[in-house]
Amino acid sequence: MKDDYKDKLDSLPVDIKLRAADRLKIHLMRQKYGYFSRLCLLMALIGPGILVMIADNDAGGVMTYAQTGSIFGIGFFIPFMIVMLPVAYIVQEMTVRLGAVTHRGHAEMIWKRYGKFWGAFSLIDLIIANVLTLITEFIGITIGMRVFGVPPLISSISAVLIIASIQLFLRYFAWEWISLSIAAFNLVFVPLVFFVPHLHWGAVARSFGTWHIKGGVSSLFIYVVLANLGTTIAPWMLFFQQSSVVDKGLTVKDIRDGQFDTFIGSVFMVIVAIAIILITAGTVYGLTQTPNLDIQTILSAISSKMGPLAMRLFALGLVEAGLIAAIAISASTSWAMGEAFGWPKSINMPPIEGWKFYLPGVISLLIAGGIVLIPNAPLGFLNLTVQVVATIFMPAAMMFLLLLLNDKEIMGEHINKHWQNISAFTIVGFLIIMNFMYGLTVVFPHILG
Amino acid sequence: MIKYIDIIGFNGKRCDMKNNKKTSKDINLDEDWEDFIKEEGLIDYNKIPVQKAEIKGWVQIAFWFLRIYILVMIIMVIIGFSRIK
Repeated sequence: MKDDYKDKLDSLPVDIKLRAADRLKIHLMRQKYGYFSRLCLLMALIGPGILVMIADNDAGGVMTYAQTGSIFGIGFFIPFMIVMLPVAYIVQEMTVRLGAVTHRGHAEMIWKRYGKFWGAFSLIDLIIANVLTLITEFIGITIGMRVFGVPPLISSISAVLIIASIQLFLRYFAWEWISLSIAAFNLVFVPLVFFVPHLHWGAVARSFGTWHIKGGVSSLFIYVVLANLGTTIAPWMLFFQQSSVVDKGLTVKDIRDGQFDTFIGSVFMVIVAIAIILITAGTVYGLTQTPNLDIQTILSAISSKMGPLAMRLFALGLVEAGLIAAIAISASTSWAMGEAFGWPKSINMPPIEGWKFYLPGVISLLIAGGIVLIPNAPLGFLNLTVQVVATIFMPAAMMFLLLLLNDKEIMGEHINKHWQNISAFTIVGFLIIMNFMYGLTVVFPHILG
Repeated sequence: MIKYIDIIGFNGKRCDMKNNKKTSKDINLDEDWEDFIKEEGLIDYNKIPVQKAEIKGWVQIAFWFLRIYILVMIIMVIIGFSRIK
């Protein structure tokens, strides 16, 4: 029986053959009955949703949440993060359906359905944003490792080697489980909340009733809202999850499991984000009013208020956040390039046969890992450029997603429902308004006081 | 080679032993193989062309809106960056 399977699988192209082996297991699991079998099937199918959401709490995200708590304390941003849960779910769930129905990635769908111009526009934006975001991940990794006495050169080279090895030498399922294991360390922020001195849970509960904005609506407030929105939904996330769903081989039968996976990931993401806001609201809030709060200042404040162990755990969380995001972002770069140019595109590919696919991801890692080591590199400027590119690109990426999800020719019965369109268009509208307001505050700095 | 097909070490094996009313032996993949390949989408999609979408109606409006949005944002970005000292 097993030999028969092998013969049949050997007749398929290499990347499809390896995916087929995994799908065969899923196919066999699906034939079984009982709660335990169903649980096994669910465990085998989850992954892309949790991974994308945890990777979304990347080094830049940790910094953003830390700055949010430090500047605004407990108030508007605790209930705001709860609202971000359905926002993240609604956006990412669409990529699950699109991937499962079309078996093609987001870059490929834009390229082939809307032409080379928009395909190239999306791809170039994605690659630029990914490389710049990777630099911020390496900043997080090197700063976090410095707390443990590791010099930036060693931590940067080690990170490149670890991430490249995970991508090159593991098959999809092993890659996913190793990545999920690393992602689990993202939860390190949660227990720290219970050691924050003088944290008033009553004030946390009251924030849901008041939505109090400290200092009112200002350009700083809009900047922080946009930064939080930008860390919750980012262009690479759309491309990553859809490609991941395709590479994993999910089909229309797996959509419900993919939705559950995305929901669980959204819950984890919001819990971690709120934990970081609470930690910094309890330790750093009131110390400074500047939006460019240094991570060293935040770590020092955590150390003085909660002790050096808490500071080390926070730094460990920062390293993990950078590492898991770098794994996801470099994979999304490889997938997008493969999809756009029609190369074989699967993490299942052996390194030699799939060198074209792996090369863009590895090069982006080398660029980011190298730039972070350049003395006096304009990292602040690079961080600003990341936000600018993402700001311009996100509504465009969302628009293509919505167009594809409303395309009956390709989606059939899995087309967006009325409520999904209303929710998604509301999110895009809010995103465009906030981007425009932020743009206005850049051009006219005193417009909001 | 690190990457290889490992049917023997399949993840669902533990499930097989625990509580299956129907095991893999009951599934005749000799007969169902083509259906399996089709259902699971295990084909080379690079060889299947995707028809280009017809840009008309509200889709055309969306594309024009996108062009204007990108233009406005690029102007704002240029102004913003020019003010960085």
